[in-house]
Amino acid sequence: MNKTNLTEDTPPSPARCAVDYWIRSSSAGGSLSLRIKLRIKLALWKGVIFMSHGLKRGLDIIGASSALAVTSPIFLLTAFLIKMDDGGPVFFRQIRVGYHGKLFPMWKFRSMVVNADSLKDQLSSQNDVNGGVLFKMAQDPRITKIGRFIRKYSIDELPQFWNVLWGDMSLVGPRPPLPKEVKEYSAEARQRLLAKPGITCLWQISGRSDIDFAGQVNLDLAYIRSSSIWTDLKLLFLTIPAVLLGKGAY
Amino acid sequence: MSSWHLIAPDLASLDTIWRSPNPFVLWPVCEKPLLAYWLDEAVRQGIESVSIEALDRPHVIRHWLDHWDLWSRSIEVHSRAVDREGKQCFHLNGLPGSVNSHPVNTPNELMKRWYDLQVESLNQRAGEKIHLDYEYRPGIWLGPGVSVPEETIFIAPCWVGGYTKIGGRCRLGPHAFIGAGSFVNDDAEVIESIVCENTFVGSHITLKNMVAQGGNLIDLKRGIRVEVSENFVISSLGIDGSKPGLFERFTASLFAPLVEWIALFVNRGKSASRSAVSLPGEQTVELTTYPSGPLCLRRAPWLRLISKGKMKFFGVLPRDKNDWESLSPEARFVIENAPVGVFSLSDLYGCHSPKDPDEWMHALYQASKIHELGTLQVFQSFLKTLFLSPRFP
Repeated sequence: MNKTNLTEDTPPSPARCAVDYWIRSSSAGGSLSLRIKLRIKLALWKGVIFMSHGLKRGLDIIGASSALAVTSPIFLLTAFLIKMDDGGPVFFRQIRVGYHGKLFPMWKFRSMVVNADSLKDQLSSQNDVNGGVLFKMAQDPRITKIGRFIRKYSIDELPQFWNVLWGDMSLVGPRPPLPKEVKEYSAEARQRLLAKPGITCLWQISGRSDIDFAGQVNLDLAYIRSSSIWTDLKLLFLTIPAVLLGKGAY
Repeated sequence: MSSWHLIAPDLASLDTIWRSPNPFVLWPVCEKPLLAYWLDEAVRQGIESVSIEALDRPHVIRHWLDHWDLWSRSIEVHSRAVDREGKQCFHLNGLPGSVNSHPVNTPNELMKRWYDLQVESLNQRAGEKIHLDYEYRPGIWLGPGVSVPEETIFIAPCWVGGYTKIGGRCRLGPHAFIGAGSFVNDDAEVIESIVCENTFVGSHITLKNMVAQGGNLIDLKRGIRVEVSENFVISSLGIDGSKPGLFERFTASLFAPLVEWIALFVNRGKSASRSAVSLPGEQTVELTTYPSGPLCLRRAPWLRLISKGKMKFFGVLPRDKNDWESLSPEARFVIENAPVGVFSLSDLYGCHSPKDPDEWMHALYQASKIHELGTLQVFQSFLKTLFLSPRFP
């Protein structure tokens, strides 16, 4: 007689498990218990999915509304200063490309002169970012005096909390590109549109404007792959020092 | 300016096994439909404008393009043959760059073509550098947010979509394609098979040459479909759009008794008409309709069906056997897939019964735009029209 089969701590073979399972499922009581176990398992899994999708929206609503409440004095002060500077409009509405390529209006504090877009074509020969579709300059003559200050400390991005509250954007996600930039994207780079755009992302923390376009797409995809509520919270906390030190922003 | 003309094959008559609500070009091939591969290729080759000729359900393609606008090019969908002069034409039988695109003639060949597309897509993937899916081991691609236990046996090539859970001691591959949001339970085996998105595969199940889709199993070898009633074997995890949500059911159960009591009072002494209508899922229900009062009072007994989860507030009007038979086969195919509701679009145009000769036109329009005309969507689009929605320049 083979004693090893009788000892209790040896696990049964996979084939034995399968036979037991199907015998159990064919009886009325067994199939009922399987159904109940299944319901519990699926409910847990749906909970995990909810944690990754629903909680992100919850975090957005709570985070954006509290941020709007906390920064309202800065809002008033900035609005006053911009109005005093040259009398133009306080906010700047720009059409950006959002989730799955849908367009939405993104709000900013105006940091450039009123006719900035028409001046851009004249300046495009002095573009700092080589070989990419982005347009950025270290010493842009279109930026106003107040604009330089609010850009350095990213105050011009504050009205985007309204976009977050409205649901077009999220707190954490790839930066929303301009429609003109998206037209020149490669098929691979378009994959960064598969996540809701956000205020901050990996790119903002890791040196901000100093990374080239391919590196930016890679960072965005790395974020989409690893997106969870914990990554989001971690990125939010890492953004605060990056903003306060004014690292890489111009 | 260069432009492409894509010709989507009309394979609706061959799709007798799966009976998919989508045309063939929108069937999922790994993470995106076949059409998306062609549009990506158009972007790669610098094509400015694309026109698509689709005889098979063009409204579904148009709706899909409204929600997936990743290409930022002008894409037109034509529902009939158009002038092709000066354009490069492509038949969407296979992936871009594939050689063997012999025509499909039988339902079984159609399913096999779909499976071959998945295999081909994985083979092509190895060359691409930037991809949202990551290569877990050589030839094994996992989407974002996939949880895989250490002891899972993978045999390359394999593809697992995003937010999927793989149970313990599973054996996947070769050629296992598991769609996004699925759940493969402990001890399951998936060999040369497709598991569609939002599908549950039970423990101790071996899928070989199979397609698991919702509560159905399709045998790729023999070309037959089996409906599985036991939900611990195969079941669907997705949200069923034809059923009312919890909020809708709760509201209906609050107001149904009150409205029904008022309707009874208004219609005292009058006889109510009854009709046996068929609801989605091939169940027949007896509906009572009162003769007088406003519409919500005449249809008061229908509200009880919302709280039971059989009807929605807003949907296509329920039809009985004679109403179905009076419809043309094309209209019937579209309206059958739409959710049934107490109030419908045709009510706004004064057609309150399927017996009305104009009602089917409104029902057809509503059924083809069902994603924009759900209870929540009607409210949302009303809110959105208050604000300007921007368009691509």
